[in-house]
Amino acid sequence: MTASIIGAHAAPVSSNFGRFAGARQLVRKDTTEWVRSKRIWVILATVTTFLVLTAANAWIATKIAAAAAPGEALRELPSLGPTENMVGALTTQIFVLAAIFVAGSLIGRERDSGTLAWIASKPVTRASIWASKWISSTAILSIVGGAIPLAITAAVVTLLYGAPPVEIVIGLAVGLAAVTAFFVTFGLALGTVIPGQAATIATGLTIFALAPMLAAAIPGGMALIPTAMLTWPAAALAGEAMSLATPVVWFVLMAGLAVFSIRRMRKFEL
Amino acid sequence: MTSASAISTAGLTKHYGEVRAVTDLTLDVPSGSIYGFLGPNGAGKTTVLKVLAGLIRPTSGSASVAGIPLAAGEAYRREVGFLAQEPRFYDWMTGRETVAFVASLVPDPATSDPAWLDKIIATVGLADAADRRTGTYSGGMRQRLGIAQALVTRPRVLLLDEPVSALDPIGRREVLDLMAQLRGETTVFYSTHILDDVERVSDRVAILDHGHLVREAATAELLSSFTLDQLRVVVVGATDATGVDLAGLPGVRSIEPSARDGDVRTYLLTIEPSVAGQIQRAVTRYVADRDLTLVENGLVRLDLEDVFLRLVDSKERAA
Repeated sequence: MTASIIGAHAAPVSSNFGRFAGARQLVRKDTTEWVRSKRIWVILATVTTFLVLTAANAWIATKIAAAAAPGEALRELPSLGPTENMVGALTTQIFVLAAIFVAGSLIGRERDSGTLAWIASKPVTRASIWASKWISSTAILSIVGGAIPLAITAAVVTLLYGAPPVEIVIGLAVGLAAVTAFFVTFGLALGTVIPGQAATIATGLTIFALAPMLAAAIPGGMALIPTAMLTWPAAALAGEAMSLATPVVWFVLMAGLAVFSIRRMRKFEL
Repeated sequence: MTSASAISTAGLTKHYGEVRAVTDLTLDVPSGSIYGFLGPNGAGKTTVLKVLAGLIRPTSGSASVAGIPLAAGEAYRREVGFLAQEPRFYDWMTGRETVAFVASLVPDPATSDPAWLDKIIATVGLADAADRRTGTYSGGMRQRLGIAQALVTRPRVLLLDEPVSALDPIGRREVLDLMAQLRGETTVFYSTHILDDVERVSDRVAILDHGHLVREAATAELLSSFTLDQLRVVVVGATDATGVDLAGLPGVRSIEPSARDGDVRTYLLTIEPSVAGQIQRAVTRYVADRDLTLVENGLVRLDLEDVFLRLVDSKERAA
């Protein structure tokens, strides 16, 4: 008689494991993939470089102008205030591009490679697969494309212009995480609709570029686009009267995209 | 569905618009059996396996594993281990991490026991490569890893899509031996186009063609059903009249001289299966009466490839 290979089976479970079965293990797997990949360093280096250079732009411009015309009064130079330069650094929105690039390719890459089918054949739900990608990508991008570059930028701003208010820095960090979360959702949603990674990213960037133009044509529209969330928490923390429409629209759009893309994923034929 | 069915399908159908991949497939796969799923390319084998793995939805019909319906989602997939035709894994994980990750997806601590993981990795012959990244694995190693990850959750049913197609002869034999060892422990439902392998290890076979089930039977029964209608007779000292005489024996439908070597002649008699024994005795008497030497007087045993071709060909002619 040959020895048993697999031994006893566990008792069959006839009920569902839950809407997010396997999510914890999938988040751990997706986060490990992030931590082991080179992407994390590329994003950190790129975003930090853009933010620091943009923040230092006023200081550099002042130095160049002073060197070009020594002794003359300097006119029409950018502000050297720490708050303006701290906020100004984020206007590049390079972290949004990073989020669209990364999240837009996540589902397509796995679908093309066959690993999505492999995972989907296991006792996990498609909602778990989607949620794990959202959680790990939002968390990692908020740290390596948000918190760390922002902290470095705040240090550079302090060195060049003086210390920015702490509530502004905290508010910008929160806003940056909120915008990152939105564009990760947006990228994942596009990945469930558009076949091919390149087409997904191109569509995402096009919509990202067109949205402010369309919003500008509508009175009050600029406060309703998701990127308005970037400065909303900082302004609220600074005591400015802010419309609640901005976070409400941000949340509703994000939740809508999430529900839509999870439903799309459930229909995937793998 | 019978109580001993590991897999049961009823009227399973998958159509993609005008393309009818699988139509009205009804199967009962006995628990603990090794079940070969045969068919030419495009017959719909992979579609059936993907439906059973929960990767695509059937257009109509139902399927269940161990009594749990496909619609139960993750509870159903808990009972299934699946190996795709071209298995793909995360190339940044090692083989051991891949198996451990799959094991962690079921709520049973025993499946994540390191000793169990070591055993399953060793069983498929990957112990030496277990700590290498899967991105460095050959096709054969990926196939072995695929079997390990399918087995690690101790599923009631193993669904294997062409499990030996990427393997060299030694690897093929090892995997087939492993499948044979699993007999009685779990149900192995696998597709292949290598008919020798099916004949060696399968308890039952189903033949699919153009999305329709052509035949389903125990392997031995299927083979024997095609061995009773042909008789090979080899006679020394035969003349041209011998063939005519043999064709005239009661129960012989037709005769075909298949070889001639000097005065040794070989005849293939197509006969009435129900009177095979009588015809064999009549042949023996005929040869003895004429002082000829009878070298062979036996039923022709077809291999599975012959049976497969006959079944598929007859269906194509009927179509």
